[in-house]
Amino acid sequence: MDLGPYLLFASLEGLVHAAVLSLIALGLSLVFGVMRIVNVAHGEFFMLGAILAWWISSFALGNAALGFLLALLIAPLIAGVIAMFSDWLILKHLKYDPEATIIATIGILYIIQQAALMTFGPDARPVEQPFNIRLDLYWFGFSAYKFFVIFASIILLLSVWLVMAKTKFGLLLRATQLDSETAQAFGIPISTVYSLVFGAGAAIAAVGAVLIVPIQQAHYLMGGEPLLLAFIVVIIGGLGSLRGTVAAAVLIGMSDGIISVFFSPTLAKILATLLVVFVLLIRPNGLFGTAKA
Amino acid sequence: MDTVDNILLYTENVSKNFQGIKAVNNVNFKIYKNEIRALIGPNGAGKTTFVSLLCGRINATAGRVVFCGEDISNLPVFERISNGIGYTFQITSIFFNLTVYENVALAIKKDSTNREENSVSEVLNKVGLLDRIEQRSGDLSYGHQRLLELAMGMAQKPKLLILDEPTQGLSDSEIENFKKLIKDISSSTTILLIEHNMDVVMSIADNISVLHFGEIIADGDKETIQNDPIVQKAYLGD
Amino acid sequence: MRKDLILHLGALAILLFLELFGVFSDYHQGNFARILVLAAYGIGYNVLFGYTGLLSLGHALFFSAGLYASGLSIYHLDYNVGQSLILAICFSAFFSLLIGYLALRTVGVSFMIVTLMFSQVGYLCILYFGGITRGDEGIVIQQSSRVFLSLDLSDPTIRYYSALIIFSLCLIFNLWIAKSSFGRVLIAIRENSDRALMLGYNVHLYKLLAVIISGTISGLAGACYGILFGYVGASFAAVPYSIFPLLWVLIGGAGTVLGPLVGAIFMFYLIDYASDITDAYMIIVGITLLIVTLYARRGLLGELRYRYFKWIP
Repeated sequence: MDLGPYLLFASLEGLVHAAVLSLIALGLSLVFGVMRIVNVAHGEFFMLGAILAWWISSFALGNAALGFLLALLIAPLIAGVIAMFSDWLILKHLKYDPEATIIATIGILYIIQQAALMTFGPDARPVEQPFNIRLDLYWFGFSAYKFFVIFASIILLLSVWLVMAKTKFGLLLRATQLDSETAQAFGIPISTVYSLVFGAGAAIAAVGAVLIVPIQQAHYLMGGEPLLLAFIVVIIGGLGSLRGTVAAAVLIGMSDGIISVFFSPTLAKILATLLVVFVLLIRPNGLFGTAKA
Repeated sequence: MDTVDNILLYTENVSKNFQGIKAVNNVNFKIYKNEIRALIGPNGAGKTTFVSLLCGRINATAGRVVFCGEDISNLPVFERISNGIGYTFQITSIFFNLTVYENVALAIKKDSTNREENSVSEVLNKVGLLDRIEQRSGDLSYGHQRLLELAMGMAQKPKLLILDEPTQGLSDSEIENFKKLIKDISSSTTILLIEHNMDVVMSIADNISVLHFGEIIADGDKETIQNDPIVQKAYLGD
Repeated sequence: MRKDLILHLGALAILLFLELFGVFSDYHQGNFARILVLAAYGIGYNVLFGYTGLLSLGHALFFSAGLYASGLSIYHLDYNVGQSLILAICFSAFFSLLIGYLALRTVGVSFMIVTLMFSQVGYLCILYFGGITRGDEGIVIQQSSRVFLSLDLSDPTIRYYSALIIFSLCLIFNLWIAKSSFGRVLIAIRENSDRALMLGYNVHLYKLLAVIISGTISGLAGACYGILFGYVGASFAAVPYSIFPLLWVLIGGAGTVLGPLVGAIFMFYLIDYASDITDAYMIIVGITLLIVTLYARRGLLGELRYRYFKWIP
C-alpha cells in the first residue's frame, strides 16, 4: 500500500543516481580500457564540472536555461582540456607506468581539489534548474528535470557507444585498447589518442556533474563519493569492459539510491563495498571483466 | 632401462587447451635419472607450454604429472620447485637490481652444514662469475646474465633442472662454456634442455624428444632422431 | 652489520640527546613526539610498500583500527593503557589478516583500488556507528586514563620519551627484518615476484605475512597516537591518512629503514608552514607527490644508497 509509491519514488531517485554514475564510471573505465591506467583524480574532474557549471551559469544573468546550456557545452570542454594538459605535462613523462600514474593522479587530485577550495571557497553553492516543471505521478510529484537527466545520460551513453562501434575514431580506440604495440606499428598516433581519451574521460564525468548540480549543489569536496562509487562500479563491472560498467552502474546506482532513501546514504556505501568484497571472493576479475589488471 | 626406479618424472596423457587450441595434446613423456634430455621442435610446437605444465606455471587441462613417484599434478608451483624441480627462464629473469651474490643466495636451499657465503662462492666459482660477486646483476653483460641464470638453477641443487633455451643469444665461445657446464652438472642432476641450437643438442644430449603441434612425434637417442623421416618432414615441411 | 647499526642507533641517540639536553623548545618537542609516532606508522607502511612492493592506498584503515581498538576500550570499557595496547595489537593483527586475505585476491592496479575502497568503508563505518565512536566529533581520552606504570603520559616530556621508545622499537624491528632472510625474500618478491615463485618461495604466504606485519605496526602506531595525544577521531581514518605514509616513505626513500622518519619530519614542517599561509594547505601534498614521482622516485635515502652508500638497509 504505502510501500509501493515509496518504492517507485526511491527507484526513480535511484535511476537518476544510476544515470549520473554510469557517466562517471564510463569515463574511468574508458581511460583504463584504452590507456591501462587508473585516474584517481577522476572524481575531481567531476567536481570541476560542477564548479564550472556554477561559474558559467552566473554569466547568464538570471536565465537559468541559457546558463545550463552554456555550462553543458563549455564546462566539459574546459575539464577535458585541463585533463589533457595534465596528461601532457605529467603522465606522458611517467610513460604511463601504472604505479607512478596512480601516485601522480593522487597529486593531481589534491591540486585540483585545493585549487577549487582557494577559488570557489568551502561553501556549497546551488545552481538553478534550467526548467521547473513538476510532473504529477498520481502518488507524488516528481521533477521533470530529473527525467531529463536520465534521458540525457542515456543519449550520451548511446553516443559514446556509437562512436566506439561505428566511427573511425572509435575503431582507433578499440585497436589501441586491444594491442597498443600493433596499433602503433600501423601508424596510429598513440600519444594523441591517449591524450584525447584522457580528456574525454574527464569531459564525460564533467557532463554528469553539470547534469546533477542543479539537483545537488556544487561543493569542493563533492568528488570523493562519486570516485568511490565509480571504483565499485568498475571493479564489479570489470575494469575495461564498457558494457559491464554500464550494467554495474545501473545496479549500484539503483541500490544506492533506494537504500539511501529507505535507510541511510552511509549504509548504502557500506553495503555496496561489501558487495565488491563478495564479488572479489568469487570472481577476482569482476563480473564481466576480462582485462588483466 | 624402463624400471620404475629409473624414471625421475613422467606424464600421463597430459593436455593443455587454450580456448579450443590444443597447445599440448595427450603427451606421455618419461625422463630418466641422470640423463640429459633435449626437447626440440619447431617454433610454436608447445615446448615452453609443456615444460610449464611440468613445473606448474600453467595448470594442465587433463592428465597427470608424476615426479619421483609422487603425483604432483595438483601441487602449486612453489611446492613443485621446493620438491626438487629447477627452472631457468628463456628470457633472462634475474633480480636485476640485486647483486650477483644476492641473486644466488636467494636460490640456495637452507643447508645447516655449509655457510651461505661458501655455498654461493662454490656455485659462482663453477660458472666463472666469482670475481663479479658484488656487482649489480643488471649491469652484467647478456652472456654473464645467462650464466647467472644458470648459476641460480644450479644453486637450487634440484633433482630435475629444466633449461629453457639457455644458449639463446650467446656467442660461440660462451656456448662452448655452457656446454661444458651443463655436462658437468649432469653428473648430479637430471637435465631437461629445450634448445633450438642443433649443435648443442647433438653434442651434449643423451636422448632427444621431438615436439610438434603439441605432440611428441619422436623419442630416442641421437642417431634414431637424426635419421627419423617423420622428424625430417616436420622440420623440412615447416 | 656494523655500519648500519651505527647509523640507526646513532639516529636514535640524536633524538634522545636533543630532548635530554633541552635543545627542543616546547613547540618542537610536541611536534617531534607526533612525528615519531607517525614515523612508526610510516615504518609499518614501508614494510608493505617499500620492501614487498605492494602499494596500499588504504593504510589509514590499519592505523585507525589500532586507534579505535585502544581508544574505545579505554573510553567504554575502562581498560588501562597496557590492556588497551595489547588489545589493539591483537585486533590489528587479526584485522590485517582478514583484509590481507581479501585484498590479495586482486593484483596490481585492482589491489590498489581495493585497499582504497576498504579504507573508505572503514571511515564510513566509523561515521555510521557514531553511537559508539562519536563519529566526526571523536572521543577525547581523559588525562586520568592516560597513565602507564604511574607515569602521566600527557606530560610533554614523558610523552616525548614514550613516542621515542615506540619509534625505536619499530625501527629496530624493521632493521632486523630488513637484514633477515624473511626480509630478503620480501625484497625478492618486490624485485621479481615471478622469479621468487620459481625459486620455490610461497609468494602468496609471504605477501600475507607482510600485510599482517605492516598492518599490526600501523595499528600499534595508531593506538599509541590516541593514547599519547588523547584524541580518537574519524579524520584519522580518512583518505589523507592513507596518503601521508605513502608520501613520507617516497620522500625519505622507499625500502629504507630511516626513510619514513626523514619523510615524516620533512612533510610535518612543510605542512605546518603551508597552513600558516593558506587554508588549502593540502595542495602542498599534491605538489610534493608530483615532484617526487616525476623527479625523485628513490627518495632522499634511496638516492644516497643508490649513488654512494650501498649498505644502507
